[in-house]
Amino acid sequence: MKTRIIVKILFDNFKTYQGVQYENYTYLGDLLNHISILNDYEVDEIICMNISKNPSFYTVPKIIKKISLECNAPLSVGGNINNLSNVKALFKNGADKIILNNLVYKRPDLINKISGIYGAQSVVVNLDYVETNNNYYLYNNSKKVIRKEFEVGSFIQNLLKLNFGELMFSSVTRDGTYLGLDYKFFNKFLKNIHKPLILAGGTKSLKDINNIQKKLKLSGIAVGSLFCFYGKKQGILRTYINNEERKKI
Amino acid sequence: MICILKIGIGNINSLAGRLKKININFKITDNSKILIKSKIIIIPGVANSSAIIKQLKKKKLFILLNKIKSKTKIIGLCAGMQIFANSLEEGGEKGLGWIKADVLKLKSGKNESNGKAHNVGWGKIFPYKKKYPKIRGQFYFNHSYSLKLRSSEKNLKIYYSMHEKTKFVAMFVKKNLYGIQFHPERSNKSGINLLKQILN
Repeated sequence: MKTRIIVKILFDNFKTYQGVQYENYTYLGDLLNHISILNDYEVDEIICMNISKNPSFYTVPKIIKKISLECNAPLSVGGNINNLSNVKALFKNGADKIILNNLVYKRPDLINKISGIYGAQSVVVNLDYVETNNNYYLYNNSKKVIRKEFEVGSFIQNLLKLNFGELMFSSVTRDGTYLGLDYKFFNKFLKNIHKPLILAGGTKSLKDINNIQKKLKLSGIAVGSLFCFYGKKQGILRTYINNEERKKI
Repeated sequence: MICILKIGIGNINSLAGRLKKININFKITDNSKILIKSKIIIIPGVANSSAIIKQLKKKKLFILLNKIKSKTKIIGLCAGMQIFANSLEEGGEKGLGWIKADVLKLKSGKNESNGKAHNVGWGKIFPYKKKYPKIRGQFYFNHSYSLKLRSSEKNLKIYYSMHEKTKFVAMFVKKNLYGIQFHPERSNKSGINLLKQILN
């Protein structure tokens, strides 16, 4: 199957944002309007990441319900998912897949439990990582700290014993920087993993997407800033690949 | 009346949203009195297939569906389709047994270690026989199990798709039963067109 070009949207309430290295968020516009624009482009898939600092999960399912009713493409939802009842609320309100991050460290046992109810295909595990001096470390986004207690390679191997559908890796270092997708990380840790893989962080251009999908066996590339800003002045323009560009990819 | 079966798990809103967009009136229900009267019932997916069977039994819908299946158009999506089979490897429950088939882990290609295959992404579907009409467009698949028909099952109109180099059943029609492995409700315009076609 072709590599999916996935749009990664960051949201807080009904507003969408893009940031640089998980900080300095720029407000882009209305969330439902963003989904509607992406419907017109017939996008491969949408990832909605909740970046709200509000610890309450109360309003999130309501937001997801509205997105789900509007969205014509597959919808994955992540961010601030802390327990099984959060997960249930997301599926009930229209998420096709949930993206787990902190829960993977805190309650890995829940992964198999969720797969037992909703099927492994509906569970995506996302690991945020940072790179410093050619070393890679997992990253705790909620506490903004590097998790040195986990060695990336062995953590992934242990994770693969659990039952879930897809594995996503998000480079915090490259996020919003247009430095290009992370070939090195893939070659170091992911070459021999036989699970659908999604890479996120730093997509530079359509050429970057084109090159990486030819060279690496990826199931998806999650793209944020490239589809939200335009030109040297980085004006806000929420877009996707048009039909002409799609033919070239 | 068209009904979306309220199983208690899975994703109903994705389907409800698409039906609203094409101006189709529907009810989301598990009420047997309404279900008996409905012309079309859709069983949504995004679930473990055995978990759906357990829910159907819990809600006393398992027997009801068996009673009405000959007169009602029943459309199963993804795991909602897989439960039409005799057996379900995922979770080990017995299915409804409406088609002679077993739902097994997807066959792995060369690059996937055995039993861990997972098919996610966009694919085309092809008619098994030339006389069946072509269905255009790409559709969104997301599954790790697929239908393996028993040799005694001969009355299906089948459309297939490919995972690695292996064919699998993407869609079938058996009289008034429609089984769809992919997600038309999340397949952009191709999916909406297909839903319109099947529901009209």
